[in-house]
Amino acid sequence: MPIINVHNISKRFGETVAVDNLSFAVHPGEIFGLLGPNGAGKTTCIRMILDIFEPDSGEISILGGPMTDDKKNRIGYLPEERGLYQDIPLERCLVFLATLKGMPEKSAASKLTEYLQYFDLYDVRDKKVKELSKGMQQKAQLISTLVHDPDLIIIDEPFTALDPVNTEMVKDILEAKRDEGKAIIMSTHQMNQVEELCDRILLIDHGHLVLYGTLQEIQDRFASRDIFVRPRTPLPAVIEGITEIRQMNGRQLLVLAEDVEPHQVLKTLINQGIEMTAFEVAIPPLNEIFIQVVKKQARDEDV
Amino acid sequence: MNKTWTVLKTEFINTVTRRSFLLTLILVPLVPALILGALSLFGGDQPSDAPSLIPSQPVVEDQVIEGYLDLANIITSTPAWLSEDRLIAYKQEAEARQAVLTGEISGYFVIQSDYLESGSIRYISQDFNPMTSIDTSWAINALIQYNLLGADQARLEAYQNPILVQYVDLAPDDVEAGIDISTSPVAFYVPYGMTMLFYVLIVTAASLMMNSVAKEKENRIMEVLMSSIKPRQLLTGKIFGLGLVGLLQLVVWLGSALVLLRLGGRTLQIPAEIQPSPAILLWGMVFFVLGYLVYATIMAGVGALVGTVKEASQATFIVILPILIPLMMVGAIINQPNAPLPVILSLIPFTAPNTIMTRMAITPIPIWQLALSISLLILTIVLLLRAVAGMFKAQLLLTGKKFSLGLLIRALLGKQLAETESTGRS
Repeated sequence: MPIINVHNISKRFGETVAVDNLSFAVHPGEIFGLLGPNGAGKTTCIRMILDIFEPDSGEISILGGPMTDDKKNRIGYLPEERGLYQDIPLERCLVFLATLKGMPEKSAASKLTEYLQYFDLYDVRDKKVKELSKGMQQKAQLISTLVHDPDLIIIDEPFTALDPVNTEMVKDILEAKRDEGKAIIMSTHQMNQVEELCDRILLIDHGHLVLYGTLQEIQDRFASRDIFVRPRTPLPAVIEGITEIRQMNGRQLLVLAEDVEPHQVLKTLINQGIEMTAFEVAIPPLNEIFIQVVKKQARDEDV
Repeated sequence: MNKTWTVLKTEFINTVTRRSFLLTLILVPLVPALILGALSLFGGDQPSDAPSLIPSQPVVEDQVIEGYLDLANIITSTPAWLSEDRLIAYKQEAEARQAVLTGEISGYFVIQSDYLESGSIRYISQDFNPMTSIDTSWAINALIQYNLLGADQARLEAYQNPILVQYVDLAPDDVEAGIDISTSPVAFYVPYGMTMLFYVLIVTAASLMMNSVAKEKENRIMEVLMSSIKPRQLLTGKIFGLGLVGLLQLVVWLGSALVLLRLGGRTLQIPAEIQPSPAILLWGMVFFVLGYLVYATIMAGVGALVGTVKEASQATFIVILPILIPLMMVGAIINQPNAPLPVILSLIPFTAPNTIMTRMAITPIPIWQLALSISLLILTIVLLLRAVAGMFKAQLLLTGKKFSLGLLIRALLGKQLAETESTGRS
């Protein structure tokens, strides 16, 4: 059963249509990438899931039905616009936010100690939040997103302001949470992180659904007709089924002829006794798919 | 409910543990206490023999000694409060002249024999200074007045202050005569202090409210809060939490003011009848809570509307204007606490709390006025709370607008704000 089931939701602000007839589902045990250019309607979409905004039309089922106060306690949210109370000590701030998620003060404090130690913030727990660095505040916010062990985690740009070490730590946590069966919605513009972490993605633009499915499916759909090979012996000048051979950073790019499948080329190369250390279908980076799709959307809108 | 309680507790603790709050809480009563202590230490508590009404005596640093010759024979006696060595009587002008030359006296008056007809008095001094001569003539002035009135102290007092009106209401039996505030200058300051106190208490607590909301917007924590609790729970928790902060401040300040007035009553010679009774503390709590609810609710609305603390504070002045009215009219209210103007101000919910408390410090207030005032306040609070709860919606709380009174009123009336203004970030 999906944790979130969004059915035909729309939301407009005055003349602006922020979300237009959008449907998707998020399942337990997956990291779901919510992608789209700036102003695509991602945050509005998240706010409707969280019951901060009500959709003008459509239905959202969350954890098996409409949102309730108890269900809010089972959700962790890291909004894109970061903020903590600046004038109070870090620990008091985090305890308050945890109790707002229904945690009793005592268990909140002990769980927080674990997280503060993990994120190397334990020594600064009595400092005022405003005295902490941006990265530290970001980690503190992640703690408040996770401390109540939510079943649904919604994080908007979780890696900004984090150094590579902390980025790895956050990734490890997210993967661990997925393995525990939690559902994670991650909104980000860092496509490499999406490729590394996300199982499925939803790409929206101007409030419309543009791409929706597993990462694999989508990349396959955009796969070009090219093959990368790293040969040990020189390639013959002409290969059957290949129209062009290009040199690229020590690899060779083979452009496939119409109606030829990559495995046929592999067979041909092996039969010709070519030794290779790598043979792969050129999967387009998500980044390129993103740019390609969004640009096409813009062109379509113009027409 | 649980989360409302969490907000309430956190607001209270976060505010009262702030160093600036604690300092204000303690210093405000401590400073007058120290001044009072100093006064009683340095002889302030010696009872003075002076009657309450002596001709206004100018403050002269060096007490000048003067002489006089009474050629008109009108001075028959000298009152006790005009000491002999302040004004020395001479029989012969030569003696007086000699005294001036030797510096014994700074000058002397000659009351001419035709004084009763001409009013003519000469003043002879070594170096005539028009500035000082005016100041120094009060003693001879008082002496002549005293003697012209038959050397009768009571008559002099009546002459000095011919009208001492006590304002008495004809109708209500439960109202005793107003207190004659002219008997002691301190009597003015007790109700005046009450006006100030209630102004400060209500404005402080209401501003805390506005700051609290605006800060959450400015710190961008509102969105996290919205994902955990309902905006109304947030509003309720804040109103009660900060209301308790205000009550704490009220009990500490008003309580110590009452104690100080008791202890210092003798030192400052405050007549017993103008010492406020402890019941005023209870009434104070009632009217503080009501006044706080009116202003804190509006301020919460302002906080919900604007985007930053800075902008919120700029809006404060406009919102608190009504509560300044009793402060500006405090003289009129104290002089005639039961006149139409103070009564009207006591009934308008925005001016009622501190007007009522000011009047209560001087005179009992008819029950019907208290009841009507409280009812109107409660009605206003219910309407305001409803309006502001309507404003406490995510769409408004997640955006910031430029404050204007018109915008606030439109928002309070539940009007849809202009579309461009309410467009949320997406």
